[in-house]
Amino acid sequence: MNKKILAAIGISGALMLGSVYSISANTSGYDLYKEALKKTHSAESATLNFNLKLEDNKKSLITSQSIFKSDSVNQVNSISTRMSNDSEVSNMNMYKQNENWFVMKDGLDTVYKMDTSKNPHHSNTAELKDDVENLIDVMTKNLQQQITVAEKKDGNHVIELNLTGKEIPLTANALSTLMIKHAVMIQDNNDSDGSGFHIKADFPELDHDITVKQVKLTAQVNKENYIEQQLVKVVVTGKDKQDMTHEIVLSADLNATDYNQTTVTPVEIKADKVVEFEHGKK
Amino acid sequence: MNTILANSLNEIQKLLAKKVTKLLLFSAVIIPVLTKILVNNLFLTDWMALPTENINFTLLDLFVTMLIPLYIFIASTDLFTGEGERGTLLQVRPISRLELFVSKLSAIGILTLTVLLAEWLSVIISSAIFDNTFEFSSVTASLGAFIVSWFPIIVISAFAVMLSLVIRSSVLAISTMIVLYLIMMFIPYLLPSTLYLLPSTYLDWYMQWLGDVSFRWIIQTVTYLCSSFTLFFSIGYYMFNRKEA
Repeated sequence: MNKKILAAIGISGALMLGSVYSISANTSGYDLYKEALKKTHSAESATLNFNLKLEDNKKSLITSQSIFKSDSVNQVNSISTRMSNDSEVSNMNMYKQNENWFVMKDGLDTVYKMDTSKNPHHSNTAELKDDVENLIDVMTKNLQQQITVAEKKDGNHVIELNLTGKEIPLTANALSTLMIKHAVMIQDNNDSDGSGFHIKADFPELDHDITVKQVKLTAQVNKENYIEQQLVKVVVTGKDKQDMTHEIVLSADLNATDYNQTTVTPVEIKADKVVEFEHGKK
Repeated sequence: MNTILANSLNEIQKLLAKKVTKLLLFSAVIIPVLTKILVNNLFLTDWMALPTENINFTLLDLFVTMLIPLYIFIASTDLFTGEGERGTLLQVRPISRLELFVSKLSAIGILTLTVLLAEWLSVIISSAIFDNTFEFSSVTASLGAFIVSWFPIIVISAFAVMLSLVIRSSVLAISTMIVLYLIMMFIPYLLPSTLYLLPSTYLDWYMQWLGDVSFRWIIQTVTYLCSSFTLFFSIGYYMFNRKEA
């Protein structure tokens, strides 16, 4: 009898370890994406085309196209953004050189200078990053299994995560709803302020029944493990004070090219036109 | 087989006589009702429209990851360690050791299933009464989720029974189980590689059944649940068999 029990313990223990091993190997889509993100962050230079679109009931609220060139070896970045809503178009160029950001806006002669050396966000340590990574690993365990990977003929991988309604964790849904509601209220307060630095979107004032309907992430990772393309789509629905239903769709489309081959040429900035501009203050 | 059934009923009666069982059954019915009333009449819900099903599953989560495991620890300590202390564990009965062991474990299993079903009924009924967005099509899906949640719970029961046989004092047994359970909940944050090794990870596995279920994943997790149950069951029975009357 004892031998039988010991055999049962041995076999079931081995089977259990085997299944644990195979379940752990399942999350390849998640790991692939995580590794690709890390690799992409460590790239020395890249050119990113970033398109953002916000729609309300299929009507475009605001669109923006940015080209972001980054060269972290020489610490030179440039961003040129074109934003447009129904009626207006605005272009803006930003350059980072000599440790400072310079902002140039179409039609304005002055150059705004932002001092980033005092930025407190740079104190991230590697240790903290590891802890956060562990935290995210465990907290998203149920989502990880939902990530699908497809390999294309050219060796690229397409990673997809598509969450609808009840698949979106309750806390995440509640928090983002809270943020949307607050964003609407803050926008209300700021309307009179009119700093006019960016084009404003005519965002519908959602009042009740706000919920996140869909979150979809599609990423394409190339053979070198860099992210080449990333599409994020978020659908939020809600009703305004007049009980009209709004379906707001945010889509962000990122295309990255020229990894480690991008060169950014510093621009000449005339010192007499520079105005100091402190971020977050007037 | 009949002796197992008869003794299971006997063990269930013992457990039902305990206040904690009644309390758990009562809370399985009352908590969903209270939650639904609160959610639908709170200031929050004016502007937030959380999917009804999501709230139902959060209620399931509360029971599956907290209340039911806690109850399992109490019940298994009582049925094994407690009876061992009182000397009533291995009285002369017309029942073999294996039958006695199985019937005690199945008593815990049947009671937890009853709790889950009672909670499901309460969730569905209160949802039908209080929620505007209630849909009848979601009834089967949620019943499925509640029943599927029972399987990892049985594994936790076998785990608790195994521990209750190793430890001789009830107080020590229950506190060890709770501490171990808390450790199991938090250790993956420090060592992510241990995540899928722990039976507590699978308690909310019903979430995986909601979306597109991958066949490979079903085989893997079912293998895990079956093999870990067998492991805990055999170790537990081995300890039980060695006990001297």
